[in-house]
Formats: sequence, C-alpha cells, structure tokens
Amino acid sequence: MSAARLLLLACLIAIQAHSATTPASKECKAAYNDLFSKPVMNLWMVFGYKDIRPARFVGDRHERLAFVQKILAPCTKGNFACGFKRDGKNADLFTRKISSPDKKSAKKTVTVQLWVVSSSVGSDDQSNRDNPFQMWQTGYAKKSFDEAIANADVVFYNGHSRFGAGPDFAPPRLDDTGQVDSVYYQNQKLGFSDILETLGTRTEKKKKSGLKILGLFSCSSTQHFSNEIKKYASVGLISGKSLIFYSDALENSLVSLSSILQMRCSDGINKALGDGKGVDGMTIEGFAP
Amino acid sequence: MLRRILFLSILSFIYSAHAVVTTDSWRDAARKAGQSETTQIRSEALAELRKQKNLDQKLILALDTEDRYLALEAISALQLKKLVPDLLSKVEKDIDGFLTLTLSSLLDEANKDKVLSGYSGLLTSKKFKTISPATIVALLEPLGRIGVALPAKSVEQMFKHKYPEVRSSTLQYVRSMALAHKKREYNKVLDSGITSAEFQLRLQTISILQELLSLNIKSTYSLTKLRGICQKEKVKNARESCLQFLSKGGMK
Repeated sequence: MSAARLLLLACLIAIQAHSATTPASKECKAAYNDLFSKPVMNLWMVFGYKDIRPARFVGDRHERLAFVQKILAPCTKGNFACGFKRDGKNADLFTRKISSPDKKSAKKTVTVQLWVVSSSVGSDDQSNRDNPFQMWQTGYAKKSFDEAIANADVVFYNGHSRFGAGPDFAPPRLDDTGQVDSVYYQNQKLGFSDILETLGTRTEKKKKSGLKILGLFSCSSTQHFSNEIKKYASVGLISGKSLIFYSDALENSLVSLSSILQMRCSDGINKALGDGKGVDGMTIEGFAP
Repeated sequence: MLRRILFLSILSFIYSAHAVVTTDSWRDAARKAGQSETTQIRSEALAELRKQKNLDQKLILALDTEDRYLALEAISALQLKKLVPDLLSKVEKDIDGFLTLTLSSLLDEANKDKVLSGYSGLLTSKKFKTISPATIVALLEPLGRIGVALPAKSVEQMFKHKYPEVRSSTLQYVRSMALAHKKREYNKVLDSGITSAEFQLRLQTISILQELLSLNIKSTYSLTKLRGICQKEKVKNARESCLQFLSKGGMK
C-alpha cells in the first residue's frame, strides 16, 4: 500500500473516530440536544477514597491517573473518551470540542469540560490520615461532587459504596479490628443523603436544568442507591447490581463517557456496558431509548 | 470401535470442560479477592486461588492479556514473591502503574534493595522519559515511604514533568523525605512548587512548608512569608484554604 493511501486511510479513521453518531429516536435526539444545549457541557468524574482493606493501599489517585492518560490520548476508532486537552491552570480540568447534535443551532461546536478529581493524597492510608493536606483533598473532592450534582450536566462517581452510606471521599472510619466500620456506615447515609437533598432541591426549583446523567461506578450501586434516586429526580442513572472490580469500574466509566460523547441512546449505552450481565455489567435507566 | 471413539470423545469433552472451569476459576477467585467486602469471602477466594495448578505460569502469561488486572490482583493477594523478578523486568513498559504498584506490594527485607534500586535506576536514567506518568507516580511512592534518597538534580528534573500528577508525587516524595527521613536537600522543589501554574500544587506546597514550620524544621519560609504568599493567591477558594493551612489548628 502506498504512503498516500495509508495517509488517506489514517485520515478516514480519524474522521470516523471524531464523528458522533446521530441519535436515533426523537426522544434521544431531544435528550442530546438538551445535554449539549449550552456552549459548555460540564461533566465531572469524581473518584472516592479507595482504600483496599486489609492492605493499607489507597488506589484512587492511581486509577484517576490511568483515566487521565486515556482521555489525553489521541482518539482511535470507536473510542470517544479521548482527545482532551488539559487546562494550564487547573490540574483537574480537561476540555474538548465536539460537534453540536442540534443541526438547527447556530453554534456548530460544544465545549466539553471534563473535571477529574480524586480523594486521596497518597497511596498509604495510614500516612494520609497523618497528612494535613488529606483533609483539604477530601473537602475539595466532596465539594466538587456536591456542586457537580447541583450544577453539572453529567456526574460520575467511581469509589466505594460504603455499605449504602454513599459516595465517600475521606479515609474510612475503622472498627476495633482495623476494618471499615460496617455497622457505622450501614446506619448512616452520609454522602448519599447529600445527593438526595441536592437532587430534591434541584427538582423543586429548576426542573429543566441541572444533572441529566448520574453514573455510580461502585459496588451494588443499583441496590444501594437506585430506587431512592429515582424517587427524587429524573436522571439517566448508570448503576450495577454486582460487586465491581476496580478495573471493570474504570473501564465502565470510560465506556460510559465515550458513549455519551458518541451520543448513544440507552440501548447503545447498555450494549456498551454489557447489558448489566456478567461480573462487570452495568445499565443505564431513565434515559432516552 | 465406535464405542471406543464415543468414550474417548466424552473423556475429551469432560477434560476440556474441566480445563475451562479451572482456567476461569482463578479469574473468578482473583476478582472476588479484589472486590470482597468481607474478610470471609476474601479468605475463600484466596483458598480457591491456592488450589490452582500452575498458577504462577498462568498469571505471568495473563499479564500481557486483558486479564492483566486480575492477574495482578492474584499476585498481590497471594503475595507471590517468587514472581518479583518477572514483574521487575516489566516495570519499564508498565502502561498505567498497576504492575508497579503490585510489585511494591510484594516488598520485603529480602527483595527490597534489588527492587528499589531498580526503581531508582529507572527514575534517574535516560529511560525516565519513556516511562508512563502513572508508572513514575507508582515508582516514587515506596521510595519516599522507605526513604531512598534520589539525587537532588533528578528530583528537580522530575518536578519539570508536564503531568501535574508527577509533580504532585514529587512533592509527596520531598515531604516524606523531609519529615520521615530528615533529608532536606530538595528545597528547590518546594521553591518551584510555590509558583506552580496549577493551584492544587501551590496549595500542596504550602501545606508541606507549614508542616515543616510547625515541626521547627529549618526553612527559608517563615510564617509571615507564607501568609504573604497565601494572600497573593489568585484563586479565591485556594486563597481561603491556603490561609486556613496557616491558621492556628490548621485545616478544618
């Protein structure tokens, strides 16, 4: 094959990789027109504090960086979670322009602002507890998440479910044996009640704006959170029924990001997420078919 | 003859079915070990892993497949220290740091020196430029925790990396070396940290300098000087946090 042909082929692949699919159904088209209706679409990926008991290791900084490497990488065919550029002044902000789905709109492109935040300051849980900067990082992650639930278009949480207590951005409370205090967390709602409160307020005050898709990439998130969230707000909710292995949660986060930027409808997103089947399957509910 | 062929076919089917179960079960067990919320499930998963035949070979082969993360989980969970040389030889090409983190989870008195000198070698050689940012972060963590002193010039070079995550880990390394191991030769990194483009790194640096100050560790930054730096912070939320670091009682 000649060099010119190879170049042409490479260009075609690149163009295809950057072209989102046109949403199929009327509802789906409307959902994406709404999602990308403003000049800037805000998407937050917040990693919770991911301690790995019984070890002292904490993984969210590393998972975040693996995620960041992927979104900064050039795009390849079929993958849309890529091609972002990092902001020079904010280490957690990444941007990328995509074509507007609304062909009638005057603006041809929408800027996607992707914020990627982690919760831990180091890989060792004991050291983190002794590091004053951990308190800032926990507060920063928690505030980022809460504000994103109130104001952003899409929010992903990738972390522990804490036995249903919800998103958690701090070193966990431990029991006398050094394990995560399950009794404490089972009796508390903590991060989850904050989500519900914010979603409840949002639903009352500004029905047509705010969060459109919420992804909970944490263990058994369907059982822990799904029903309650559906009572409070109509959002497209990505969740899973099983305990989830960290690399599967990471992969599902990337697949979901890619699917949204590709403007897939719920069937397409579900297919990409394995239709909720198997050990790593998740689903989206409450999103346009 | 026909009965014999039939018998052999059934035998072959049973054998291959068994092989599939065996092959999958290490993956299932590794996944359970990694995601379990209870110690009992984890113990059962580890017992299942220990039953596997030729597990070491399977895991090493799996490192180059989509089962990489499960293999790493199994290696770490079972503390398979005999695989340390295999893992060490792959660190240089580790794409996302997870192999390096697994290797670090296997450190003990017997293998520590060899592994950590391998880590230092990669960070201070020309190979540094080819290592993934996530792997650099993973390499730095045990060096700081255990107190392996890297040449100041290399650490300063690391702080010029284009990924802020690498620079943040360098600051974390400098903090560990200064606070836990009384090594103070990396002050230039802190000087650069204060003028970082990203507010997250500026705050991290202020937090470290405040810790040094509170422990009466000699520093060129007095409390007054740090307060002046905080007051000039351009990002409003960062300015508030910065001043909070320095207030009596520290960060709330």
